[in-house]
Amino acid sequence: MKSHAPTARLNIAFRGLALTSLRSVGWQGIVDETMVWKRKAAYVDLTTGKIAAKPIPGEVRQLFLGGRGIDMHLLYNHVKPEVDPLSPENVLFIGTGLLCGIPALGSGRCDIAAKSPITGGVGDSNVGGFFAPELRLAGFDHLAISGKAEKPVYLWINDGNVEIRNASHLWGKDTFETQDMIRDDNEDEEVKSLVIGVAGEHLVRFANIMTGMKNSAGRTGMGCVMGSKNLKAIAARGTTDIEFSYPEELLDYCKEMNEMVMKTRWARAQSRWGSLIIYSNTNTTGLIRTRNFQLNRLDEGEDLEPENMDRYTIGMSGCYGCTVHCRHRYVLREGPYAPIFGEGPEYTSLGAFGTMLDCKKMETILVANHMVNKYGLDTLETGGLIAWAMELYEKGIIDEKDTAGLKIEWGDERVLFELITQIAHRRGFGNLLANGFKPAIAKIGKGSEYYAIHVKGMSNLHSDERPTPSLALGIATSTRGADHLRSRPAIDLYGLPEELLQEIYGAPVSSDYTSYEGKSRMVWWQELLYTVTDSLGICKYQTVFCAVHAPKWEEFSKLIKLATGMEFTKAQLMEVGERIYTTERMFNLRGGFSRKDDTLPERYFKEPTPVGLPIAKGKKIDKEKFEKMLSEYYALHGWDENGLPKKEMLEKLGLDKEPSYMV
Amino acid sequence: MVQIMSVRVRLVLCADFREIVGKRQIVEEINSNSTLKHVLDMLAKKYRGDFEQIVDPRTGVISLEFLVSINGRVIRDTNVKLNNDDILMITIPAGGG
Repeated sequence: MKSHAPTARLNIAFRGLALTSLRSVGWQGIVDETMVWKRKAAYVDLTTGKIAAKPIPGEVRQLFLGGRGIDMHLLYNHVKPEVDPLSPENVLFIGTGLLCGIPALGSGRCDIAAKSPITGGVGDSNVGGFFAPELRLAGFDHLAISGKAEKPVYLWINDGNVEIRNASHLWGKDTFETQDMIRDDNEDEEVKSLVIGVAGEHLVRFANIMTGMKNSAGRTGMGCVMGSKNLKAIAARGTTDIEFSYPEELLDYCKEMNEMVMKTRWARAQSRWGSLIIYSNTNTTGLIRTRNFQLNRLDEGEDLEPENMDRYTIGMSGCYGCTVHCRHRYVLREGPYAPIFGEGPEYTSLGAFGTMLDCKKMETILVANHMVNKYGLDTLETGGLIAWAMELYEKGIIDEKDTAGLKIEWGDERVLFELITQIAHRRGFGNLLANGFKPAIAKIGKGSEYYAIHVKGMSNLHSDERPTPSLALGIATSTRGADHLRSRPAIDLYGLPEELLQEIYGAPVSSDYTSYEGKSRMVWWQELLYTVTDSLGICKYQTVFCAVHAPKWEEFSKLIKLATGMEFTKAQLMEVGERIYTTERMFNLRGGFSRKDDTLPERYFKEPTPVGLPIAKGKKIDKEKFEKMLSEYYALHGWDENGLPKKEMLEKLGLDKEPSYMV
Repeated sequence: MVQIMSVRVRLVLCADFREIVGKRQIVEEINSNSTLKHVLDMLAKKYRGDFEQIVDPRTGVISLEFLVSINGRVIRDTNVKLNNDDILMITIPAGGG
């Protein structure tokens, strides 16, 4: 890293970083006085009403970049292990990425973190749309919100000012109404908001945070944390400038980046069909869980094929800084649920409300997608829990006495819609599901856990990873619970030449997606890449996630240099990723997680896939090979056999002086 | 005298290929000695467009821009022989979630 004289001081809000540890990782000073060093964080205590704006120390930028990285640093340092996720002591962090605002790579992503009310570990969700750039224009890169308001409030952030406002009139409103009303209140159509719906108000553990029609910070229950603070919304409007170090060169390079992305088939397919395009490939092969986890392919599921969205789509839209535009805008003009105007659905929602429940109509998906967005529920958790309940009902583990008379049968869209409504309002059987897997399992008992497809308490998406060890390892190790967005090496499914894989991953990796060889390295590498991606605030879909020739380390380094003046080599950026991921690991370890939690639902090891093409049929995860892969993965991170970061790795990352309430 | 048998392969078409052909699946009856190259050549001749770009002319193998699998196994070398009831998926790289 380039050396200059330090000009900033450590701020008390960013506690836990000792200068000795900064020097130990090679940091010597701040690059210059351009934009990145002037940015601020706002600290809001909703109990006392106290608000403080403080600069973000340059040292923290250098070590954690922004977005998820700084959020994780703050989470680790501000939320102690004993904190109840729904108590005023939990802190909600909102973070814009280091590259937020550049006209490329979907740079409008916002990271939202807190202790998760679902897993009890790292809570973290990343959302696109337009909120993050607006927050930056309003003068802040990060928010840390603690305490609990006496009555419903929302935060109003405008050109360097933060105000706590009454939100009593917004309480009870859905996510769309809330955003409209805030715009009306301020007589400004350009106001962007993060909001919760009734699910967040009712403390549904997997309530999401919405912005716009479809963008949601869905995972780990961040909307529930907002609800617990009586915080209905965070609204931003800004007219300040975002400065870049080399604006002309940056603009040219952004153009180059956008062209690089749009050259990929993946991006062009996204522009046409959205992420639904994945369904044709995975369902044909047999990589999709159906009827919860009973089958791995949906037969007679033709109506869910991506071209059928043409019946409803009125156009595609995108997030800030995006040239891809992967989001359908759709209208349901006929039928019992019309009229509906919505956006999406993602491939994952197609699975959550389609394949997992044996619902085979596109319209069902569109209605359910609209409902969860309106109420503010995570699609994956909602679909996963309902699929689990349907299998329990089928197997007689629960019956109509448990479900208040509801026949929870496969493929019944009325039951799906009813349960979504019940969950969001905490009524009937939905009230039990609203608590998430762990409490619901404890309540139902009778062997119900075996059928629950979750890791660390969080539902998996609808992909069936039994034929794909790399994807399976990724959901097992994810710091936020079963999740594909922490590490999924989707390019493993492409059978790429092994020379190319070695070039990307730096060591031999099998090109056979059913193999275990080298897959720990793939997961480790992708974890670091996505961690940095989330810290830069750009879209994973425009990196090496689903397209092999999309931007990665080298391009990130150049963008950072042009935007901020900071210089990182590829190795240094990977080390930043390692530092952030290890911080997340430490947060979970401190909260009681260990190697035993980095595993898969029992069915992955016991039940072979019953259908699919020959490569995917009859597959289950080999427990012994899985454990070997897990150990290899730990070693790559510099963690020991139990998954504890080794002392030398902590020293290398500058994390050895972190708070004493470490494991 | 050598008897030439025929085999039937099912082609599952996704993404752009589905739009070009206008069908999700087609069944082709081919010579039992046929390789994947024969089938791709036949499709390129018949449908043109993206079908003509599946094989990278520089390398002679399937381009990284496309994904072709036989019974789920991704194939790059087109000199692989096809068998009766093989399921050939022709698509673009898209997967994962």
